[in-house]
Amino acid sequence: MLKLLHRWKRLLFGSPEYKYLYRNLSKHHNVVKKSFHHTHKHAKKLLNKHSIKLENLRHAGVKAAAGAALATSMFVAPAYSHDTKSVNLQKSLTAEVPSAPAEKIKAGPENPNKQLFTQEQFAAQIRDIMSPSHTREGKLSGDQLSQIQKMVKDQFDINVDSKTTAGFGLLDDYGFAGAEQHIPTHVGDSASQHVNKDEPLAIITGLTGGRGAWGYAPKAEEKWYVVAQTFRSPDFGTPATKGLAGQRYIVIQIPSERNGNHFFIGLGGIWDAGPGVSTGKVFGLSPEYWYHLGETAGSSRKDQIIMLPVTDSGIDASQLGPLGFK
Amino acid sequence: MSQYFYSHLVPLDEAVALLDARQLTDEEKEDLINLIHSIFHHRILDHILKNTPKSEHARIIKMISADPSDFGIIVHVKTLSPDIDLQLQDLGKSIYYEVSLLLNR
Repeated sequence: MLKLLHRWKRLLFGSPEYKYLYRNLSKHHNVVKKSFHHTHKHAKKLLNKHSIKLENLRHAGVKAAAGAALATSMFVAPAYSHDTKSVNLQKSLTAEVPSAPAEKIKAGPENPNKQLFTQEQFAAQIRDIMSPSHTREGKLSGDQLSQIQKMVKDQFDINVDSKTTAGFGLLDDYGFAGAEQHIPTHVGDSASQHVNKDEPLAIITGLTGGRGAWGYAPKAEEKWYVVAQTFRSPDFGTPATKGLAGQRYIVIQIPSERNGNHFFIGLGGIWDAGPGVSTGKVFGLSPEYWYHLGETAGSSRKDQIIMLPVTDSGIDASQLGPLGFK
Repeated sequence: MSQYFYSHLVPLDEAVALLDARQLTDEEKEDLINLIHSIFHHRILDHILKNTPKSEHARIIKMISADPSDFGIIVHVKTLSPDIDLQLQDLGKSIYYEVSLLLNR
C-alpha cells in the first residue's frame, strides 16, 4: 500500500520524462494484460491459486538456474544474452526507432469528388442505417445496402456491393470480427518481421502456423488482410469462387455503445478463410486493424463490422488500410 | 539483473538498459522496469500457453510458482512444443522492439 502511495506521488510530482514514459508503457501494459486474461481465463484462476502476479513475478534467485543451465544447454537453443548478436540487434533496432511515430491515416483511392461528410457525420449515418439490425450477423436489407453503397461512392468514389463482380457473396454482410494473427508472406517468415514501427501499439499477436487459404499473402498486402467465412457462402464451390484471393473488401466498423461509438473505415484484401463457426465470429481482421478499431474494441478484440466486396478493379496494395476523412 | 526461466532466450536486460540514458530517480526507474518485466512475462506466458495443451497449464504454472528462474520450465515446455525456444527468441525480439518504440516515441 505504501509503495502504491509513493508511486502515485511520483506520478503527480515526478519528472515529466518519468510521467511520459510511464504513461506510454502503462498503456501498452494494460492492453497486453487484458489480452492475456481474455485469452487465458482458466490461467487466471491457476495464477490466483498459486498467488502468482505476473506484474510482480519475483525471481527466486539464480541458484536453480545455474544448476539447471548445464542440463538445459543440451536441449535449449543458443543463449540470447550479452553476445555480439544481441548487441548488434540492439544497435540496429535502436537506429530504426522513429522519434515520434504518429498515427498515420492514409488517404483513400483518388477521389475527384469533394467529401460530403465529416468522420463524425459518416459514423452517425452508419449507426442510423444499422440500428434496425438487432442480430449478431446477417445480410443487409436492400435499403441498407443501397444507402451504404451511395455513401461510400459519394465519399470515397469506391463501388461496393454484396457480391463480387464474379458473383461471389458471403453468407453475412455484417457480424462480429475477431483478431487474427499475422500470416506468413514467404518461406521462413517470422513474427518479428511483422513488427509495425509506425503503429507500435498494434499488438504483435505472433504468426499463424500455416499459410493463408490462398497460400502466402503478398508482403505488401498482409498488413491489411481480412478473413471471411467463404466456406459458408452459398456460392462456395461455384465458378464465382475463382479469383477470390486478394479480393478487396471494405471494412466498416459499426459504432455502438459497446465500442464507445468508435468508428473506422478501411480497405483490405482477403487472404484467409475463417474464423471457425464455433467462435461465433464471422470475420477476422489482421492485428493492425485493432489499433485503429479503438481501445475498447482492441482490448476485447471483438467488434461488429460491415464487410462488403469492392467491385472496382485496380486498387493496389498502397491503397489498402484506413480511408481518410478530410 | 533479474533471472527468469526464459531470460536466456529474450533480450529482457537489453530492454531495461534502454532506460539507462534517461534522467530518472531509482524509484522512477524501478516503476518502469516493473512494467517492462510485466509486459515480457505476459507475452511469454501467453505464447507458451497458446502452444501447449491446456491439460499441462496447471503444471507449468505450478512450476513457475515454485521457482520462476527454473530453466527446467523451458525444458519441460520443450517436450510439449519442441521448437518453443526458437519461437520465444523470435517473440523476444518483437517485444524488445515494441518496448524500444514506446520509450522513443
